[in-house]
Amino acid sequence: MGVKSLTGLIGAGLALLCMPACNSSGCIDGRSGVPKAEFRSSATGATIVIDSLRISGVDAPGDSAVIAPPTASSSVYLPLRADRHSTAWCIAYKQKALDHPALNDTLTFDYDATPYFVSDDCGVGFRYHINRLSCTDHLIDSVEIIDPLVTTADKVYVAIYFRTQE
Amino acid sequence: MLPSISALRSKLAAIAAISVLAGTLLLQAESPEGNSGRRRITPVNNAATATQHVNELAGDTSVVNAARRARSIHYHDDKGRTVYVDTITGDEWIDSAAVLPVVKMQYPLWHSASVGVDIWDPVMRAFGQKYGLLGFQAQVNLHNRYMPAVEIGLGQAANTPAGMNFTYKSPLSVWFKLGMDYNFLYNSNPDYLFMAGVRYGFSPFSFSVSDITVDQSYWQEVLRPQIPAQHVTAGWYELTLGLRVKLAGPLSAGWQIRYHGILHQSHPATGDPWYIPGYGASGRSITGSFTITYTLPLNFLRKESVVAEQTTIEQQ
Repeated sequence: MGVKSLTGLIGAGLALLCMPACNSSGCIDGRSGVPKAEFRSSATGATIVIDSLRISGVDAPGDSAVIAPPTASSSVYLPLRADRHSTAWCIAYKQKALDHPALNDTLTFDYDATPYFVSDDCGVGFRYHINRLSCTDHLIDSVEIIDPLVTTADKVYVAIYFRTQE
Repeated sequence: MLPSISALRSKLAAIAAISVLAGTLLLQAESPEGNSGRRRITPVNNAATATQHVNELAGDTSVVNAARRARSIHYHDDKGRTVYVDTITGDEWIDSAAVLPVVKMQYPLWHSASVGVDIWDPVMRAFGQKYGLLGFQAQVNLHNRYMPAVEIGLGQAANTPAGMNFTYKSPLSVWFKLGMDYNFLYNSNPDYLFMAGVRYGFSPFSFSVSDITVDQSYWQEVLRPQIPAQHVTAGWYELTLGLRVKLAGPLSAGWQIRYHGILHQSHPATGDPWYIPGYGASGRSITGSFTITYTLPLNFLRKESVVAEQTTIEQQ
């Protein structure tokens, strides 16, 4: 192998090294974990779609809702307050017969929040570990923690079982 | 008189021609094979003639071995022997007539030793890379073919990506690598090396993330948490391919392309590290190195004895 050939190969190698290295780019999952709550029937356990719910955070600025009629949905994302260990959500039923504040339910998350370095593309967000999930029982039959560790993965973390007719 | 002599000659010629023709006809009449001159027979095959050659060669070892080779796979062992494996019986046997020549080493076992410095990271940092520092490499060249290598270095990172919500810092940490290169040009000029190799790397280090801002839009809050120093250990493998050429005297230069992956790593609750000293950015599978190397021959003692012999002869 001649010196010229080797010099050429060295140059080719350097050119290869100067090419951008393989890496994963772009932030797909987001920074912070947000628990996704799924609506289920207490009678059958099946997922149900509800179009008369208004869900808002307790003490949320402007009493803004994350879901409100006439939007029909089978699940809802409930962002938690990272600077606290508890976040409560008010669930109001806007059907004619049920539209009364006395029938509203409250869903309360107790958790630990941890700052989490996701990646250099996504940056830093929060992960949550749900320690306890409680609710009032006007129209909610029960709640269930599916996965207590809330990450950026888009999946169901809690289930809310509503009283429904079979 | 003259006309009578001419007539006589004509008669003699005619008689000679008739004699030749008659002789030829007689010979043809005596031959039973007719014009071809060959004997015609009808070939007859029977069981004996069909198996005759098989029976005659049944004890021939060359034929037996050929049949075994036909139903066998083979490989070459480290002594250059061709080892056949009968795929039916599983028997292994060596074909002693098919010994491959083992390539002789041209260079001694302890051929040379070298130390080098990897200047890839310092150069890349000058071009904006946010991590890496310096690496050193020591190698022993055995037969100009096998080159065990030890690498040690220091790594550090400081990164505040534009438009992002954090500053990542990894203080000065040490890393180690252990492995070996194989020189494909082992019987050629040792000034030129074309090598492939493997490495195992290990580093204990720490990292922290500061200047974090997290906007919780629904709650209209901006939080500023901190991730304090997280202590991590990581181990990884590297597959390398590279060249090294002599520059001048004992100095040489070379590059390596390194494909790597994490083998084991601790996972802090606050997230995995972005930078691993000696490895680079954790999401990247390919990196490189550019090394300036100083080579010290290890066969100088043998060279000295040869020179001493020559000197003695000259004195005589």
